[in-house]
Amino acid sequence: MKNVSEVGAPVGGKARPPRRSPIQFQSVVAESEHRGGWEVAHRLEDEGDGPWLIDLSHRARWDYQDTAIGDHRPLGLSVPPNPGDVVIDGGLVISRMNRTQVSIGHIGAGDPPKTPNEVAYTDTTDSHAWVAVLGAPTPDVLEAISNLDLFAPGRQKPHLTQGPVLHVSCQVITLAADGVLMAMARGYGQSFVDGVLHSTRALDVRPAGERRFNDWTAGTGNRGST
Amino acid sequence: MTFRLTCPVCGARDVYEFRYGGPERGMRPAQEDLSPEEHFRWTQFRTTRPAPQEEWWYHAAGCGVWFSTWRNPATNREEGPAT
Repeated sequence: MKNVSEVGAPVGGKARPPRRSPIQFQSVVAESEHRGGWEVAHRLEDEGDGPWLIDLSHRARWDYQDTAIGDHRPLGLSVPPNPGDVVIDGGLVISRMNRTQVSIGHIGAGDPPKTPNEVAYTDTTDSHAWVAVLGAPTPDVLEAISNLDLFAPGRQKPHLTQGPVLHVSCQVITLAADGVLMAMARGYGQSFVDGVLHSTRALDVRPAGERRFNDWTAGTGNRGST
Repeated sequence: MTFRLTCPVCGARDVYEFRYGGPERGMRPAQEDLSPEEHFRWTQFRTTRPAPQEEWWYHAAGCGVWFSTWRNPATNREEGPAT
């Protein structure tokens, strides 16, 4: 077993150790990039025409907590007023979890903002697995793996649902009828995506690189933003 | 057997998403002059009657909030106290 210093972090040095996604797809990586300590797959071979399952675990995420959270603007964002509400602004998605907490994720192009040096922020990037399901059959995919009502017509998208998907507690953001984000504790990531791919074989869900997600967000603009 | 509970954050969900926290027992009694029997009774005894009672539940598979609600164990319906 290698220790941290052997894999690239000299003691007292500036280099940080490599960051590894909790998710490894079986697909062959066709294009990739080294970014922020992560090896990010832009494109995988044999991605098909959708629906796609995309690993976004390298994307920055934060929790922000305060008893008077409505009076704050974390990372310059408006706090959604009610639990379950989601706002997309400036490449960030902010979702209200409960009375005192929001979660924020970076879904835009370019570098994420730096974590402000305030106690209300917790950088959760390395503690979560984060995946996207994209493509027209997304509701069918989610129907196969969860009892949650993620596409209720009465709820305005985007919205947050906290509940079990494949028996794993998840934060599910329904961005649109053809796009969903799911975050869970890092340790569940690999078996979660294995379960998704196994349970949805009939729908031909395939792993895809980050470019599919970037193209989707660029194509939809700030869909659902307020 | 299944039924639904209403989480104050997430709304109505399947009871399998929740953990039961027991009936509401009120404040812990003052320790001064508390007999061992009274202490044992408060910490160990639980009562479940076939009538609406206030209970604690934890939304373990959802938002992670503890909350209290009224439920009738005889029907598994959320029912308020008889007035």
